[in-house]
Amino acid sequence: MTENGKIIIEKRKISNKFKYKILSGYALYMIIFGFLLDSPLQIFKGILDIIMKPDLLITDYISVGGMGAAFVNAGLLALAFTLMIYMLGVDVNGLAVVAISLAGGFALFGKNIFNVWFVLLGVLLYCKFKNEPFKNHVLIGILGTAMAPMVTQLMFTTGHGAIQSFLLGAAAGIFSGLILPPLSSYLLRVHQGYNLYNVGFAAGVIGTVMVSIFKSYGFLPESRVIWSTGNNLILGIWLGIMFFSMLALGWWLNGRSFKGYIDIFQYSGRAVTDFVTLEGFGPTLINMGLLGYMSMAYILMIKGDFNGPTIGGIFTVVGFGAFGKHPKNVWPIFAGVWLGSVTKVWSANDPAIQLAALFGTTLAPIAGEFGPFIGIITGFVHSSVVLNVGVLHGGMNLYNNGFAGGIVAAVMIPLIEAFGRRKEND
Amino acid sequence: MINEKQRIAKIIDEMTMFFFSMGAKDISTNINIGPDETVITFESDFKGDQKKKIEKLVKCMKIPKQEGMEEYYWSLTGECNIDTELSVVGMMTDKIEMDIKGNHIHMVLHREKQR
Repeated sequence: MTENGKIIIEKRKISNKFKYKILSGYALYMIIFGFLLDSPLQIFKGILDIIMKPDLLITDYISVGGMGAAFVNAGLLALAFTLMIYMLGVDVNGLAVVAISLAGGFALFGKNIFNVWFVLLGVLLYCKFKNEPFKNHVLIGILGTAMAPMVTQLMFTTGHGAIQSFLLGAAAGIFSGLILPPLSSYLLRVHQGYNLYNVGFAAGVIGTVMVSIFKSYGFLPESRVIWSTGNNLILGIWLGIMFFSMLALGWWLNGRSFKGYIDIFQYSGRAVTDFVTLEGFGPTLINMGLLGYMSMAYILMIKGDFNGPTIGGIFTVVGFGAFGKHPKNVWPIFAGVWLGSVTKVWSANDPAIQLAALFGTTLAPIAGEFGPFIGIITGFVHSSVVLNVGVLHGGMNLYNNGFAGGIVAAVMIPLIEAFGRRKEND
Repeated sequence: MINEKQRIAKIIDEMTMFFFSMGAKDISTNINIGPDETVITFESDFKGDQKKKIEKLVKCMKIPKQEGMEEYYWSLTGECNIDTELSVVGMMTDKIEMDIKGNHIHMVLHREKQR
């Protein structure tokens, strides 16, 4: 290619149909699993509980509504969002895979088929105001549903009249969605794309401001930890089948081979690293399947739990397997968080620390860019920061690790740049 | 499309940083804003064998235009002095012509106006 020559690149259209089928298939897999576990009546009652009860961090929907209801809620939400982006004509790139994966994962602990729509309505209003197509912002809107627990909290727990509470919750959700697109785009510059959950960073900033205002009026969100245990066997088998199917599909799409998959390891993973458009859907699915098994292995190794929040974390690692994460840049973060648990005052299998390891991989691009040693330090620092910032937004931002990750990256990157290199290359 | 001129400037920032990373000492840029499209032309030299970097450039330029991604990520281009954000430039352009002769690269980026 460096030899003399002329190249003309005409852009091709992304082929989407098959990818939409895959995304819908995984959403259906969740719904079917839910109906195999509980009766339709139990699921209906469980979903009502999920909608009406507070879902601030950390609220495991498996404990709130039952396992069947939690999985049906998650599958329905992932399916609804998949249908929505299909109808809008959104290309299935890495970010679309992330958005749908996170919708399914977080619908096991905080997002539900009722509370997400107000945030999306806010994003739609932003598009109308700026006269821009909703299609261009819908993925950020879906990711922005991280603030959905704020809607539930204000609608169902404040103790005001029903209409007043409804209007308050709806207004907070819509307002969050309205200000999310410009804020999230602007805040990218703070961490230069080294924090993959940038919407989480923006949602953390928004949540901090809004909770500060709420507190000024005497409204104090209570922290909570609702965490189910004892389901490792059944959920482990369910996850194992899902990740095997990703490996098998990826192998098949990649010409019945794993050849070329290793090329993914050359990327640091810093945003924007869209494996779907750079390397193809086959290698991306292989990467997602491997990351799934790796995350499961970590949880089992530390004697952790498979439940709503940790499956949400695993889905987040897997989803970002289409957009920056791969085993080479993820393991140092796991190692750093684990190392922290050895030296700090908590244990690796404390609920918040299990989540810090899984979601802390938002900083995987730092390990990818600067090597495993810096990656381990980053994971080590992140596990402390993430435990301290949740109080700022009162648990109303589900992507608490994205908020913490943004802060960690904003501190680490300038320091690495300042002290890591002595002289500009000539 | 809002911030259109800033976006064009960001593309130029990113490409300039990329040419610097290849050891460029002599870079020229021309911008032509037409009624239907903006055409940005680069002339740059580069130092030594840059096969890997040029392969990466071609790969990123092949990325299909994606307005949704551009809307969110355009502000990242040209910001980082460690890594490049070439894939976003790929997402922001409709057609690219490249001509490499010896240690000299001529590149034309076409960016159509959003309808």
